[in-house]
Amino acid sequence: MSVNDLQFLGFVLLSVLLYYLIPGKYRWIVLLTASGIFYLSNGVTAALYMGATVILTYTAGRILDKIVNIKPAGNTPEEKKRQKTRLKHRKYAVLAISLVLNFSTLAVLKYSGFFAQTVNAAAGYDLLPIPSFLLPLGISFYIFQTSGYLMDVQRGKYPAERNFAKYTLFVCYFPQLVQGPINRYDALRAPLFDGNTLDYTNIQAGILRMMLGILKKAMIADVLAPFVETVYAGYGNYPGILSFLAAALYCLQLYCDFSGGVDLLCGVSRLFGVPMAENFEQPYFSTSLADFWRRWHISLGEWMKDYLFYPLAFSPALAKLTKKAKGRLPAEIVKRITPCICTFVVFLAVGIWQGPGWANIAYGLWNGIWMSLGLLWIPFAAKHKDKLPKNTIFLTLWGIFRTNLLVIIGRYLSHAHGASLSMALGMLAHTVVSPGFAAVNSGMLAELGLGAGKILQVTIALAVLFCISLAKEKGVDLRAWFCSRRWYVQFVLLFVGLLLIVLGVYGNDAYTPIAYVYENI
Amino acid sequence: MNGPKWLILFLSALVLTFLVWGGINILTDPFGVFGDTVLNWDAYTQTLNPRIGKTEYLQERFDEFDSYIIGSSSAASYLPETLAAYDGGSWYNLFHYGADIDYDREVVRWLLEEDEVRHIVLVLGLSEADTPAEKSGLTDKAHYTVTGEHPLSFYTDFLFASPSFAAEKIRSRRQDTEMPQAFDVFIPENGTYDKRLRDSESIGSLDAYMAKNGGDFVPYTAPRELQYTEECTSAVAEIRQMCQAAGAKLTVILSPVSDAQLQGYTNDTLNRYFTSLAEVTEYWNFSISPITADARYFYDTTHTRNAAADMVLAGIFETDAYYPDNFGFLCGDGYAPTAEWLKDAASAVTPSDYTADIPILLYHHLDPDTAESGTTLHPDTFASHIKLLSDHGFVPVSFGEIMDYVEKGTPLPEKPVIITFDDGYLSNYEYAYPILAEYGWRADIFVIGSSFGHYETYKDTAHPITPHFGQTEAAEMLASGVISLHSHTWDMHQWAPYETAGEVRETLLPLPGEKEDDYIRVLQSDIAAQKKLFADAGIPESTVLAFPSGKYTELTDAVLRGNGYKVTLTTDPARRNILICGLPQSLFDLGRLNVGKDTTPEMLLAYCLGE
Repeated sequence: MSVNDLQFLGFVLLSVLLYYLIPGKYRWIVLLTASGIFYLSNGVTAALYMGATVILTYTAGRILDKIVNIKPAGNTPEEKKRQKTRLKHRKYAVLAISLVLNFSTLAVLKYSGFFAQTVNAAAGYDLLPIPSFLLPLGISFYIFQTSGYLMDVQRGKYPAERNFAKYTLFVCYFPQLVQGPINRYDALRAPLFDGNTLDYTNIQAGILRMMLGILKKAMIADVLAPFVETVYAGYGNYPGILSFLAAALYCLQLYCDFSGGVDLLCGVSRLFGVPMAENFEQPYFSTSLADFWRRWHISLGEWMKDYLFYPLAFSPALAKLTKKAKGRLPAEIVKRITPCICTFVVFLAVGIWQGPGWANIAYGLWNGIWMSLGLLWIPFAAKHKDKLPKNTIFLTLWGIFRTNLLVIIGRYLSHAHGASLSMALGMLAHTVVSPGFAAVNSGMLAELGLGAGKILQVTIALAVLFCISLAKEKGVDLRAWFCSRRWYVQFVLLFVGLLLIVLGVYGNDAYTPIAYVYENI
Repeated sequence: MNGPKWLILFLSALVLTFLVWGGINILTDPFGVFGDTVLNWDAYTQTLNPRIGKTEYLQERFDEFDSYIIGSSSAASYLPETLAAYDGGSWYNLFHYGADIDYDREVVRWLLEEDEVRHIVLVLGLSEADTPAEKSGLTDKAHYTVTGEHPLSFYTDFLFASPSFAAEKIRSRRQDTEMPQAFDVFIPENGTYDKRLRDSESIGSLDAYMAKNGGDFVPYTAPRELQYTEECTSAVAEIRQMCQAAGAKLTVILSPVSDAQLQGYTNDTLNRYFTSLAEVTEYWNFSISPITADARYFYDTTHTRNAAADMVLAGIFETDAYYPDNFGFLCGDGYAPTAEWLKDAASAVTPSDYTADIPILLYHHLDPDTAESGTTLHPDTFASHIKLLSDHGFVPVSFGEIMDYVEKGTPLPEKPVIITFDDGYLSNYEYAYPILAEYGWRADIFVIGSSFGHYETYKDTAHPITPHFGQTEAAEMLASGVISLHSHTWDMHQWAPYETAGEVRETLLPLPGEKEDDYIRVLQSDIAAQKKLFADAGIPESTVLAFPSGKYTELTDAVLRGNGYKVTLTTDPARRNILICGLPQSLFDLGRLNVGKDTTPEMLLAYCLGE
């Protein structure tokens, strides 16, 4: 079952009805059953992989919980201290083993092919066979979610879930499976297990958000996709400026695809009264790359911050390094060694998370380098504060422009399907060396799937999306605004929205909606 | 508004959306499943999905047909009228897009249940045994009466089909013209493609054909396996059993395969297919044949021309229409000639066995008293040309003879030539006719109907013109057998300076900005006027026409074909006239050398010798 078809909406409707029809304390069982059906409908093998992850992390969580709860015993303070250290080591050992095992599923399924290819390329002959595995739906999302859970339990942030079935639901809750967000156990626990009562605000919010999500996907992402795909696949056949246009449109496509999908699924979750973590906050309004990464794929960013950046920043190795640098380098630089290294590592991880291949790693590095430079820039900026222009609208717009330019260049590298580093660099070079402005004409765009009608459709949809985003940015509660309109205004807007969904989803030339870009990440 | 009321509001909007969506689909009915009462456009619905379009069409007309042609688009070339002429009965072509033998079987089952069937022709290609058909949604969906699908599920699919189908149908309606376009290419009355435009393309040398159409002949890459052979043959076996049980005759034809397609398969895989098929049914194997190597008998890699399918039927029914030697073998009882053997047999027929190169000369006016020009020659010059050709062994032939060559394979002399005169000047009677008679030669004159018998003035004006012969001269020339008369249009070769009407038609080209339908009407009435003149003047009906100034469009050709014209002539000397047996398109738009004062005897001879 794909979330793109009517079947899925029927499935959701049935699940919602059933959810509210049965007594509160059993409602989570409806969610578990629905999630099981949804995941199994996407293949038994994928479900088996997920089952293994659930068993592993559940068991590890319980063991960690037990260790965390052991009070150090001993007759003397020294003995207690020794016991405490032993427990700490044991805890770390369990965590390390479980994380290694958990991530190794991801490594084997997703990266072993890339690894073998790289080794073979280095060796100059086929040293390793190239494995090929079926990639379970949303594997990166649930591996990260369960790993975060284990680290939280280890830290004693909350006790491990004792009920295996409930834990399974936490991992395989179907609205989060396709493309996240990466949820936290403590945030999801109560709404997921407590049996929410029917609240029409949730239904209303859920429906409106689902509509917004589908419109983003159908009216923008899927319309831009053919153009983007064609140019990326054969950039050499077109003037270089089209490569740039494709990368820029890919940014929009990806945002509408990814955030549209998340909107749809957050909306579905909201129907059950389960709010999921927010994943986007108008990322293209960012004034710096750091700002962008606070607004783009927020749940991944938060995960990286909590479970990679901070543990790394407080690690003894980096403390030692900083200590060594003291006195040898200027104090302002020394202060920033740790954040720089950590940022660099985090973005390397983000690149790897994107998928296998050097292009993705380069994408991580591209962001890591700019972010680190940004950190180093801070003291300089502070020093010359007076000489720099004051914060004006112009400065904001300049910030937005330059950030988006960096993001667009990054998208040369991160094109989700089959991007290779040489292709990405070739495309970049092609853009600069032979932009061929004069060769572009409307006929060429139409041939590439962006005829006048499509351009008009996307422009209108983007204009609407821009207004919605701007309102959100200004803190306007759009749902409250919408619901305070007269009933017939709401009716007409809903009808137009639904009609656009019909035209957008079912009115595409392709007749088949395009799979979500992040579905297999 | 909040709470349950809002939910009701939303659900109402949702219901209205579905009502509007379904309503649009019912009204426009792109697939014709809801009766198509508003647009009533069977040619469109059949083009969009022939499976459903034809089922809907036939359901109401079973009593009109008793025999059916079944198969994928390779069956499209098999014409109901040809089969009716050879075999009797009333035929309907039920071909569909995509090789899909399982669907063929279901169609046969459905036909036998619904109708009393006399004869079924099942046309197979190699594709039926290659890969199971890929179906792409509603355009390949079959009718529920054929598949047994629940009607509710069937109609729901079309009720909530993509609105783009509806939009496309409305857009197409606005662009609809008299001639077929990509969106209305079917003839609902007999289920075939409307090839008025497609088949109006003239065909000559293989090089010219491939230069123009080579891109359509993408070769299959070897080695491909006919991996679906078992499934295909078992479906054919079932079809045979069903036909036997119902008392319906079944003819299975393995249709001609182009070289581009054939080269993808090994002899082994072909032999397995041929033998397996022979084990379950008697069938005609035309797959590897003398036409395989000649792309001109094909539209593209996998589609045989209508004319080639006519040859297949002529071969099966052994009519006097042309078909090559070693063409089609009846297989059955487990016996089938091998691919190797068929290839050998096919190679015994070479292009020289079925093609002829024919030069055609074009003269206009002969006058002993005027200086020679591009269109006027001294009668002595003309006589010297006839002598020259005669001395070099050329033999004059008629258009009837070249038509017989193409249609029936009747042999032509070794060095044939055709002498033609355009416009119908009196000088043709006064000078050319006696010279030709003297040499025992013959010629063809293309008459402008509106000038026929105008000895002094242009049409009904007072403008003096070069005299044109009339009924008396025509009768004498025709009776002699030396001259045949044909059309140079009734009044579409007007002389602008003498015309009073605003729009002058100097050639058969449409006027600038003229609507297609208006042009067709004008052309039809011109053709009718010319036919009437011929009938009134006692001139035998002719199916040959020379384009005024050699100009024409694809549409001109198509309209002329529709009015029975078989041979058309241009004034292009570069066009080599390669006649091809079995291909009427080789008679279209033939080239001619205009013989004028600058044409030296050497040039004339070189043209006739094809140098």
